[in-house]
This record gives sequence, structure tokens and C-alpha cells, in this order.
Amino acid sequence: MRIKILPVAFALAMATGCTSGTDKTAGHKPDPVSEAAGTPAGNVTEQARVVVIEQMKFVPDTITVKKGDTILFVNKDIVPHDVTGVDQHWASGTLAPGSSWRFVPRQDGDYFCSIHVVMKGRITVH
Amino acid sequence: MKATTVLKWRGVALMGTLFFAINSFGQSTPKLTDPEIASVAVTANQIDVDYAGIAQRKSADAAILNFAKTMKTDHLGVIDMATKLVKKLKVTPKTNSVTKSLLEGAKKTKATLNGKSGKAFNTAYMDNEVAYHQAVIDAVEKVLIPQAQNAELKALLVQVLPALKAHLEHAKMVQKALK
Repeated sequence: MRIKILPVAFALAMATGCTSGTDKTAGHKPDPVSEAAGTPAGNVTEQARVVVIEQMKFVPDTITVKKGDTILFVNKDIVPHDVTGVDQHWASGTLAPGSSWRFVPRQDGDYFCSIHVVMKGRITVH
Repeated sequence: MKATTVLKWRGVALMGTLFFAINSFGQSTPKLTDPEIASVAVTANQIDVDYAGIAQRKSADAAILNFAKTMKTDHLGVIDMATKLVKKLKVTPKTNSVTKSLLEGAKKTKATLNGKSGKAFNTAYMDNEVAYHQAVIDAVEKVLIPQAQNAELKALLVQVLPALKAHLEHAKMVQKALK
């Protein structure tokens, strides 16, 4: 089932910062929601897709994005979570309640929460 | 020998669950006030934190250590939320018959867990985690949420349920992998 996804705008400078560096994560350290998902500042040229983490689920649990798109994972749950690729090549690190993490996927992949291993999701990149 | 040990433990776990069930959720379902519900909630979470601490000391299994770490983090988080809420509501948690039965059951379970080691401990810990989370979920759904009067206390209990259910599924997954 495809679930409607809310678009969230980002400042270009913040978004490009996600993909810099040579580490395996292609992500960004966890940010407070207010910073990452807040009101856009400056030139808004990129849209992010949002996956909300709430009630011990990734919502939506499957998401399709275009190559280069940013996915914003927002932890709205009462406990810490993380977002970890099943191949273990990328991971968000612990996301405390109220924090978020931006990720630019380079390829299709399944992911899970390594803290609560029953929580799973999938990313498809076109 | 191994089968006997497992069966013996399962008997203890089941007794613990039944003890909890009969005293708390059977035909004589206790009527709890909000201060008593707060006490039960904090106690039930603290007991699982204590079980996790035992597992962290006694187990070398990576999946169990990860599970125990999660239990400690999540249940301490819920205790913190409950503590902040009762302060806000100016409610003092009140010890009651359910709190006491929980603590009595936990005392026996801790003694059993502390008396085991290696694979026998791993099996006993995970069997207990499955039984305990199922019992707590039943308690929250059938007793605590229906009886909570304060809307914020009720909302907190509702908010905690998905985590408890995810813990149960996680526990079943680890339990299954041990067999």
C-alpha cells in the first residue's frame, strides 16, 4: 500500500551537507527536529521525503525516492530508535525522541532499527 | 537433563504469570486509583530493568545483550516519563496489592535467574521476558488503561503499549533463535 508522504523543504546548504564526506553512511548526524525539519531558511531548492518513527513503526515502511532525494527520518516516538541498513553499510546512530536524521540513499535497500529489531522498512531508488 | 531444566523453568515462568494474572486480572480484578496505577506502572517497568541488569551480568549472547540493553533504555525512559507526569499531576504513587504481587513474583524470578548460567540462563531469561511482557500487556490493556481516571495518565499508558508489544515480538524472536 502506498502511503501519502508529506514533502518537507530544506535549505540547499543543509541538504548538500548530507552527502559530503567519504564515510559509508551518506547520512548526517542526528539533529533536533527543530533544526532539520523546521521552517525553511534561505533558498529552498530541494524537497525531502519524510519517514516518521512512531508507535514502534517506520511510517511509511516502504518509500520510493528519486536518485539524489533526501529522506528525513523523524523520531516522534517515546523511546530512542535508529535506522540501520541491513547490509550494515550505513546507520543513523541513535535518534533520541524528538530528533531526526537526513539520508540520501544511493541504492535500493532494506533497513531496520537495531535497537528494536522487529522494526523494518525498505527504500527504493529510481 | 536439558529438557527437564527447560520444562522446570517454563513451569516457574508460567507460575509467575499465573500468579500475576490470578492476583491482578482474574475474576477479582482489583480496582485501582490513579496513584495506585502509577505505582504499578513504575514497578512493572523497574522489574524489567532489574531483569535486564541480571542478563547483562550473566549472558554473553550478543542478541540477548542487545535485547537487555533495549529493555533497560526503554523501561527507564518510561519510568522517567511516568515520574515527570505524577510530579506534574501532584500525585504520589501508592503501593497496593498489585504492586506487592509484582514484587513478590520478581523476587522469585530473580532468584531463579541468578541460580542459572550459560545456555540455561539465556533460555530462562528469554522465556521470562516473553511471559512477563505478555502479562504486562494484558494488565495495561485490561486493567490499567480502563481504570485510569486522569486523561494524561491514560494517554501515557496508551502511548507505552506499542513499545511493550514490540518488546514482546523482539523477545519471541530472540527466544526462537535460542532453540
